[in-house]
Amino acid sequence: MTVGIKGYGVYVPPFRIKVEEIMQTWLNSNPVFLHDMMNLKERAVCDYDEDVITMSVDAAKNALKMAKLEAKEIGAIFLGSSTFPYVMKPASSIVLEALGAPNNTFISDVQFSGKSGTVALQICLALVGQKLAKNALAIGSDNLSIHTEPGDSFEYPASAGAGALLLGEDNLIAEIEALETYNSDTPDIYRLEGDRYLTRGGDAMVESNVGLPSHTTNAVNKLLEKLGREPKDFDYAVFHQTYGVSPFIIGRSLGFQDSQISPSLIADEVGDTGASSVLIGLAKVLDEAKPGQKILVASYGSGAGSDAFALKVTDKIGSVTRSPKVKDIINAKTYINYATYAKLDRKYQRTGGE
Amino acid sequence: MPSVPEKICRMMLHSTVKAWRERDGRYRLQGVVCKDCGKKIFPAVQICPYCHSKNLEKTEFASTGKIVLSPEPLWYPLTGFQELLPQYTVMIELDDGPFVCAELVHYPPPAEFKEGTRVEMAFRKLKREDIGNYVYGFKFRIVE
Repeated sequence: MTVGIKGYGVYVPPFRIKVEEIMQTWLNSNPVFLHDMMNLKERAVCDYDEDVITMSVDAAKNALKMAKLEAKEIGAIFLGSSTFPYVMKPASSIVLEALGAPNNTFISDVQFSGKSGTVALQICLALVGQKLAKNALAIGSDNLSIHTEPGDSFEYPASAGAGALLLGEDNLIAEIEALETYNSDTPDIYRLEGDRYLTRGGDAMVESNVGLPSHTTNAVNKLLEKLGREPKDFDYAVFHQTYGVSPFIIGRSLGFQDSQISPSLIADEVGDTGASSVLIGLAKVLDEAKPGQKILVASYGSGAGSDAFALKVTDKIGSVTRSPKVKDIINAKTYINYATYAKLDRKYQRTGGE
Repeated sequence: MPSVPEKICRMMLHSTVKAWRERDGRYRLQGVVCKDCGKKIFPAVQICPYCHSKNLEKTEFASTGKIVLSPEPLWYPLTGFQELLPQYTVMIELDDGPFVCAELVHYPPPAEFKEGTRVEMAFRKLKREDIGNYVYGFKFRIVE
């Protein structure tokens, strides 16, 4: 029996900061570069009381609601993130109890920077395929914003969000046809033990082709070879979105048309949501997908690796109720200024008693 | 201490035990139903305050409800994160009966609500204890 997606859920925090607001504070970029070249208008910021765990719970609840499934029927929860609140103590155990899943559920946190979400998906896929779990919840959630240094050029896209996919074998809205991966030791973006902020391995690593484009291209080419397909055989393509322009750069180099990529675009309004980037992109595509359509998903995680998936939408997609839609979640927003953002993300130094 | 600076609550209690014991109620609105008098009680108790029975059963209450009492927003710190005033703390009647006193989240902006406004539970960070651990629990968001 094929393993596939039974439901999906998304959460994006409602606060937004415009790139102009950051630019006016730091004067370290220009609007033409960010708007026209990078396709980035604004990005999400977490509220004071939100973090990776709370966003995961919200996304997971949406996924369960869509699949009309009780939390008691979950057999596995894998939470992928690179910005867990605790260094030692699983975040997935809090998600487990918050959802009310049974205590004998397989759970764990997984970390592979930006592709943590799809790594969680791989593990869940294997567990469901091996009949160790009937329903498995793969969650990708990241709050990159809080771990980005003020004044860094990555402060413009670094955002927050969560996406959850519920996997199973029955009542599927999309089947997972094949998966492929490509990994190598590439220190482009990393965060060391005890460090608050992300470190970039220099422009030669980040701005060149060695990271995102190279890994994604390799993984996708391998997947296409395995399936014996060409880019034009897919209706949609979802790539990791650091900036609004990144998926188009990768897609064009692989031979995809812009019309295949643009339905998944979220980074222009939300920014780089890290581990949840492709999951939110995929959810946006599934919001409008029709039965029989084929979707290609390729994530990217710094450090570095890429996972590529091929999905086929089933007839069930027509009968699911999507509440709320990804578009509605992205459009529910309120703008904040730089000072409020700095406070919400606790980008300040304090001494004495705290 | 962790690298992210946050206000700390309850400076004198060096233990995570209290928060741990009460987690089911905070995470999923789990309370008790008295099997003798049928009253629904939140938060969970050991003895029914109405009929003094010990014959209680754990139940998860509905995560939706309506605001029944909305006092003036608090401009002085009550609990938890004390640096985002005012705090909108309201009394909520859950759909299956019990009353819950809870804070509203910041979005949708809670400035315009009245008694009868529909709300749903949101899982949020409530506060941070003085040994650094996070305490998660319920807040409520307005459903439009």
